[in-house]
Amino acid sequence: MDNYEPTILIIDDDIDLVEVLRITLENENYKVIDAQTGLRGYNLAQTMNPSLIILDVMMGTIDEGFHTAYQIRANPETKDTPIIMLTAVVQQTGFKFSKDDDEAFLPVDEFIEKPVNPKKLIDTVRKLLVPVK
Amino acid sequence: MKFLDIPEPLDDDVSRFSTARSIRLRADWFIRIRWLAMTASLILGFVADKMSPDLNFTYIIIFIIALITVNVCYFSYSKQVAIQSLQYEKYFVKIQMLIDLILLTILIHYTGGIENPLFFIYFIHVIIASLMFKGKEVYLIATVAILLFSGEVVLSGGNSFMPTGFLNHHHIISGGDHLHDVNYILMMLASFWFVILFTAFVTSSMMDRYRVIRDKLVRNQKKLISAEKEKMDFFRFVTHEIKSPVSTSLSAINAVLELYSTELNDNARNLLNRAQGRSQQAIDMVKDLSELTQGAIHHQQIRGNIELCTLIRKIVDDELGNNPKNIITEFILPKTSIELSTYPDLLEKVLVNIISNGIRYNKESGKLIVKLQRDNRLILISITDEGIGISASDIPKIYEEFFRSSEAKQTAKIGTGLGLAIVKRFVGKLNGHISVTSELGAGTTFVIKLPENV
Repeated sequence: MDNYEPTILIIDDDIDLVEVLRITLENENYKVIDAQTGLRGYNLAQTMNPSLIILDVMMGTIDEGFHTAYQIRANPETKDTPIIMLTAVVQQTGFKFSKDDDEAFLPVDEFIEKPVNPKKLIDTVRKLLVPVK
Repeated sequence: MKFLDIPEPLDDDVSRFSTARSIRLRADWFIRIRWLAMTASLILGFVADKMSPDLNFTYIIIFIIALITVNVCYFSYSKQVAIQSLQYEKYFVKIQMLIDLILLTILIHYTGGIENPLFFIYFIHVIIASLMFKGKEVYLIATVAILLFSGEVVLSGGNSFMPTGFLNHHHIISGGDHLHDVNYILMMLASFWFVILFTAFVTSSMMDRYRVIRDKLVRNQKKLISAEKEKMDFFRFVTHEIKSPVSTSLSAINAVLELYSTELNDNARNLLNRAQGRSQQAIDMVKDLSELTQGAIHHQQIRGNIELCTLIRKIVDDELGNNPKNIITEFILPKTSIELSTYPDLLEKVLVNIISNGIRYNKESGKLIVKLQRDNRLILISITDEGIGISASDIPKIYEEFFRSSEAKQTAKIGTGLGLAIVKRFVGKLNGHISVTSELGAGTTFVIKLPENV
């Protein structure tokens, strides 16, 4: 288990931000793969079975990330993969962002607001990757 | 630059007089007026009956019963039949007016005819017609009134003009030979025709002019609203487009400072720290502007109930963090909880802004006093700090967008100057009021008054 490198899939169309996230995560010895669209990310999630997915809300459309999250959750292969959602759009899209409001509203485990704080990102990733019994 | 609240567009039914709905609304209004007219007739008839022995009160009672009958018919029609086409609704109102005029003429006939000053009510009908109809239609109502009244006068017996009239004249005033004089009656009728036609002319011209101005205003207001919306959409698009690249740059700077800090020399770290601060400022500015402009275009916020004491304690805790300035907080809160039905997001932003200012601009080990009290149906929140204060000349400017006092700039270099503008706007949206008292170098107190229910 010492050589176990969890794979993290980043789905974001901002290639510069993907690079920032990749460097931050690789620095912590995670293996990183990425996709620039929701569809490609979804396909990659099926084939590569990542340990965690980091997903941007706004890509091609204002809510592409939400739809991708629903698709990932709908698939039995990936339904338990933790998802961190990157947001810069709190209160702009009309989607609820607080899990307290409605537990079933969005199939996402955590939110991280942009600009990304690397420490917070790592902490959140570690928290979600704690092996489940 | 000002971010104005976009006003609600004026109701089309109010602005354009000729919609089926507006006509129906006015017809309903007539029905209410008619109830009033009946009551007035009853009282007046009763008084007149006492004063004039010639008057037969029975006719008045019959008139009132007739009016009640037709009004009940109109009322149930209006309740049961949905609004029809404009033409149909107009037709309905015209029939009502015609029946009203006929009933009025019958009442006048049995209560003295030309002797009865109630004929002034014909003028009221013409004025009301001009509120609802245009041009010819108003003159049509005026003509009907002229024909009915003149007909009554001419056809009533008992005057020298037509000594053996078709109808009996019912006196209410005894004596007065002039009432039976042809010249007098002709003069009366001529004056009546002139005044009623002139009234129709003046009121319909005024209403035409009013409608033109009103329609123009509505058109212009619609244009303004749509221009303002486009401006705001554009503005939001631009701020978002700016936010994305700045946010990514800041993420990159954060990563460098976090991951490679030890590998950087002091100058490089210093420059990156500055870049980090300024990028954060840009992000804060975009966020604040987005809040300010959202406040302008989003009328609907989500309502909810909150408990104010808990909320305030939580905000103070969050904003203090690990309290590097050693701020001493003092809460003066009521013993019972304060539940508010409000827009929690707006209220929270207001409190966060004021409390964070109270901490940010406070002196080392300064006090932050948060007092909460209920005064009738008002909630008073006062937040006092012992910070830099605001000079008397700056106080009127603090709610202006981008204004930062020179003292504020000295204390905290980076700030958007939008916090209090947001506060002012949001307090307004909560139907509240904010006031400030301050002494330079001694501290500031903000008092927010809010209604219990927004």
